[in-house]
Amino acid sequence: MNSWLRAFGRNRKATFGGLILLGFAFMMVFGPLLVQDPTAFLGVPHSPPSWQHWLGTTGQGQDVLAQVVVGSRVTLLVGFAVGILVVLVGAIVGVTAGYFGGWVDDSLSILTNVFLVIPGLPLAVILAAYLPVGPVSLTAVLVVSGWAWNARVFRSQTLSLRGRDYVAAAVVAGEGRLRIITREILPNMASLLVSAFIGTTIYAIGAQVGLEFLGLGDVGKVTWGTNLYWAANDATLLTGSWWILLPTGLCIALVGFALTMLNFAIDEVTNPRLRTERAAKTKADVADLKAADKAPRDKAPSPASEGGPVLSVSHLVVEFPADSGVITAVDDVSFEIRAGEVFGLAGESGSGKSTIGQAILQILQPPGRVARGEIHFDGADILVMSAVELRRFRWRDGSMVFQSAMNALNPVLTVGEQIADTLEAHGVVTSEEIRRRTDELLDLVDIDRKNASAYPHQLSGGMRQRVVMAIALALRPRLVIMDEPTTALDVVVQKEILKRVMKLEEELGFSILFISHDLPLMLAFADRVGILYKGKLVDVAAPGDLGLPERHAYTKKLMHAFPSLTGPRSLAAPRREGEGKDKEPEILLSLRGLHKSYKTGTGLRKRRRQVLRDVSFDVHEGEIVALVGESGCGKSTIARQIMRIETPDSGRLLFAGEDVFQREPRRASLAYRGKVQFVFQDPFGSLNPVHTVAHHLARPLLIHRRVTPDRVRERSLELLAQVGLTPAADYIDRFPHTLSGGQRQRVAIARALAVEPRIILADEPTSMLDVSIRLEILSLFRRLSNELGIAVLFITHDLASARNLADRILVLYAGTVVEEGIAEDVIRKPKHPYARLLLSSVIDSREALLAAIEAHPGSAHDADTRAACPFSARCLQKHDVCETARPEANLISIGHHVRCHLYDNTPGAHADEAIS
Amino acid sequence: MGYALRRLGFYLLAAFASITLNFLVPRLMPGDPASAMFARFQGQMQPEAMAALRASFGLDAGSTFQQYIAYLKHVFTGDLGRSIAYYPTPVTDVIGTGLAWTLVLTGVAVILSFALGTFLGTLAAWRRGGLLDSMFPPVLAFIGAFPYFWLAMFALYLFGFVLGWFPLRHAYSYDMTPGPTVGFFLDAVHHAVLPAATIVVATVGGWMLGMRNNMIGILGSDYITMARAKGLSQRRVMWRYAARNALLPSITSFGMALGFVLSGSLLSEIIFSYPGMGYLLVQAVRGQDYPLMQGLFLIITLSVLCANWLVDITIAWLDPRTKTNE
Repeated sequence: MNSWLRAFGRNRKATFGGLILLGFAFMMVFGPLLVQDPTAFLGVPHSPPSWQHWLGTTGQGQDVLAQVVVGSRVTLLVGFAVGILVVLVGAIVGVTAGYFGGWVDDSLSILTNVFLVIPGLPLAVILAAYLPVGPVSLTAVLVVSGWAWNARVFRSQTLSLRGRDYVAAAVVAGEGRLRIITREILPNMASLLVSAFIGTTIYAIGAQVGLEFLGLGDVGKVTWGTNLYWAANDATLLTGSWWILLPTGLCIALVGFALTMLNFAIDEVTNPRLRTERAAKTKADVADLKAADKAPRDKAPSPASEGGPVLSVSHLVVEFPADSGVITAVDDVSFEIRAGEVFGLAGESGSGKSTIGQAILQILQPPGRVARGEIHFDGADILVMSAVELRRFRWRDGSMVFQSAMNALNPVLTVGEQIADTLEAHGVVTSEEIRRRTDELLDLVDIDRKNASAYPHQLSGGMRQRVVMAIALALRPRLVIMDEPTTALDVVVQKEILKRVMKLEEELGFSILFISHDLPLMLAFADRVGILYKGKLVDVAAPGDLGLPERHAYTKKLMHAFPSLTGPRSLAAPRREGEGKDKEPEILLSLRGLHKSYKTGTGLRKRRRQVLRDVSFDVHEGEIVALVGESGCGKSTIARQIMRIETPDSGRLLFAGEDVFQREPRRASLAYRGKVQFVFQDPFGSLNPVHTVAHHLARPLLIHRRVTPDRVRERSLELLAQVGLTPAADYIDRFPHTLSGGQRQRVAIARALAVEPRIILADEPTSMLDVSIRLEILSLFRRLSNELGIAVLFITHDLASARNLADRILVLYAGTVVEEGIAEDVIRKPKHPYARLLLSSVIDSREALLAAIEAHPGSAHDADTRAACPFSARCLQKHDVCETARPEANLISIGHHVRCHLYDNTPGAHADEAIS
Repeated sequence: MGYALRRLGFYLLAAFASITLNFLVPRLMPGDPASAMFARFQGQMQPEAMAALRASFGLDAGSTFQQYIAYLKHVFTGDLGRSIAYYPTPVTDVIGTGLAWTLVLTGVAVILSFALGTFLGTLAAWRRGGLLDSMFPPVLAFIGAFPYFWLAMFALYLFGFVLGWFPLRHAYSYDMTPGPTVGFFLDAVHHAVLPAATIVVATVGGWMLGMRNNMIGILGSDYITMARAKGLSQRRVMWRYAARNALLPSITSFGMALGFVLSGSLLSEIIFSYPGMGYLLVQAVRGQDYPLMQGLFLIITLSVLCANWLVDITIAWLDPRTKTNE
């Protein structure tokens, strides 16, 4: 916040606007004391500017300067008054509607939208016509005709802020609603409130002047509006007395302009991209680009040079000039890629790996630029190519598969159109040829040809990624750069895509530069791997050699950062001495028969989607349970029901034996909140940017009265030390944006610990963190569980982490728990066909990558949750009974249950197909 | 299709609300509406004549609710009462031609302004830091800060009085008879240039800035990067990829600003004595002609609602995400 204020102070537009407004403030306050009486008939009517009357006289002989100066008072005061009142009314209506939702939101929104759509001036006219004239009625009229705009803006901002994790975190901590609105949401709307005030004042001044011009104001009073009213009435134009019109108009414009400048400045400070920068392109560049546009298109593929590497990067340096100096994103990187080779570039966020990919195709986002180095493609230096040559090189010789296919495709064009314009840009002109090539490409990636007329949003995630791949291969390039192509996808789809890529690579023989943070994946997939650390290439080796002891320290660190599915479990619970296996810990949390559905669709097309179906499981005291599944399986939904952020349709929740929903049906009690806590996935969203670490820890301590107010700080320091943020005093007064992702997540964990809970739910707590610190956070959970006896319900899609950390694992598919058991049992000997599919899709070796996919294509997201067995549509071992009867939870061994008909204990069950 | 009907439903609701508001406003204000309406006639008419006048305006027909029903019946049969200033001409007749002139003038001007502003905004975003990007927005913002009618006065003075390039008032010359002839059309256009130009100059800055900001937001997107990486020409990326996506939020704000722009243009009409609804509005206010004022409010509001509905349909039609999610 403070940095914003400073940036605002330095902004040229803000200073300019501010000075003008200061001048008018002076005029408003002191001006009337310095000028003549504006209503007195002092001079000759219609006389031009002179020494007695600096701005001349009006049609009635009054002093124009005096009128302008005195008029500023009422006009500006009414303007500001309307501004404040409208923001107040708009904020109350908008924030209430946005926060409370439901019927409150519906009714207030209809009211707002109706007022919004009724044009302001006519409404103001009929209101003003019936009211007694004067500034008060004018203010009232303007407020009534102008509040709706702000209400709508505030409502959408509130809606978006309410969805932020830090608001949910406050709810979970037990904060009251009013405090949440005033302390968590409103401070984040500060710039919007100011900007709305400024905008409304501009509107108010203009509308006021307009109404007075019509004659609806008190024409006896001196205001800028009435000045213009009299000017129009006194045949100003006929007599050519421009001096009567000009000053008032100029003043109105200057005030409006100054306020607009302030608004621009606020926009620029909050969104730095909007700043007008110095021209990024020189005249030569512009001419070059124009020539590139006009150059004849070249259809022929580039000639492959004999031998020699396809791509050769030498001593590449890429810099990003920033306010604080120059950031070197890529520091002296050199490597080669040979024909037909898969070269992996591994690194964490900020290592520069994506930047290298962008530099090769010369699509660096400004202000990034290549400072030094060479990039040779088949011998030609890309960095010195003219725009014409570059356009030819791009896509024909080297293409790129982007990380998020949804973002990489233009939402308003069909898939076919986006393939077509690639072909057109490279010389394919006839429509038959284009259609033929498009069909060919879609076939290549196994997409039905009729999808060419589909829009990106109509396809599934996996299909979109295949489309992006098809486009990348459209011109049969020699090098395909893949930037985290499967990171956003589920593990099963990821394997499908990678197998496809391998097959295409064999068929077409292109080289691949594979950029990812997922090292095990790369070890299975790449021929050679380069390790990037902070812009430097610290190691390059074949996968088999990366584990050798002579490798760089960071390489070793990265290799060990990935939990494995085989080998020792690094985060397992320590064996407790002296306790026999018979003493089972108490059941802490119990779910029975949980059902949850959501309404989807808009307006008349509402459907119900069943997200959770008959979910039942237990969590024991002090144990760590992992809930594993792909996106859309309902695991986060389960967390929300347990956290009582939502209410399930049916089912029971038992905590320490008591039925929670019966005891406190409407809202969670403070006692409950004090026992069940939550750690969110996104460390960047779960801490409120306007509050310090101290505040985040103090609130739960105070709300739940864990310590007396005077001991709050001391306890907060203890908590920070407990989660590994030492020295704690260094962290306690910092703002979230000064902390790294891992540090923020530790603060979030400390916040959860503050209330001394019995169980913590952690929803994908490490998926948004850098790879090298994930293991640290997971081991923190294990340490806290051991030391404090806290149970942990750990939600994740990462089987390896689950296997390492958890005591027991539950596998979730389409809202049903399909298998549950002791971690090692489920991982080593999965029984349910889906669990087997999931495990076989984890790619940690070449064999795993090449092994067949054990199911029909589909996704957890689109599964039919109402089918008897939700996995039956994809199951390779499906029988008729799977479509008619829902499988029961069959007991395989102690604590190991599977919901699958293959394991039914009834006669006639297909036990022969069960996996032993 | 369903979307269009749902929006229509909303606008019908808003229309109904406006009609009700129109009915309620005089009755909610301090004082007796009848006295307000007939203030100018006080002392000039016989009490019986006053009573008859009140009856004809529906101000005596029993309870407020009964008056409301009667009022609704009148509105739906197109009877908005009789104008006081132009007594006994019905309000609808008085508004009739005024509506046509305003719609044509403002409609054309607003579309021109939006098209020009959007085009300039696209260019400005593409050439960041160029002349267009750094100079035009502040200059246009300054010009746009003047009240529309002030700009109208200024334009009239400079181009009408001083330079004499354009006529000073009205929609067509005295000696022209309105009709579908080329001569009339050219004459009407000649008269419309100044009023339209005022509206365009006053509003183009806003559209330009909006489009520029939308474009800048979009130019950082992955699909723009991919388009450039594909080797598409600059022009294609700018128009087919960037501008087409940036246009959607611009059109949304166009719809929301329609009412506001119309308000401003009404005031400009007054300066040019353009025989549109603005002119009628000022006459109504000066003459305390309440039936006419209220009739104008209703007609203007209904026009804006209708225009908004058309804009909503256009947006839905242009955005494949709404088109195909039905």
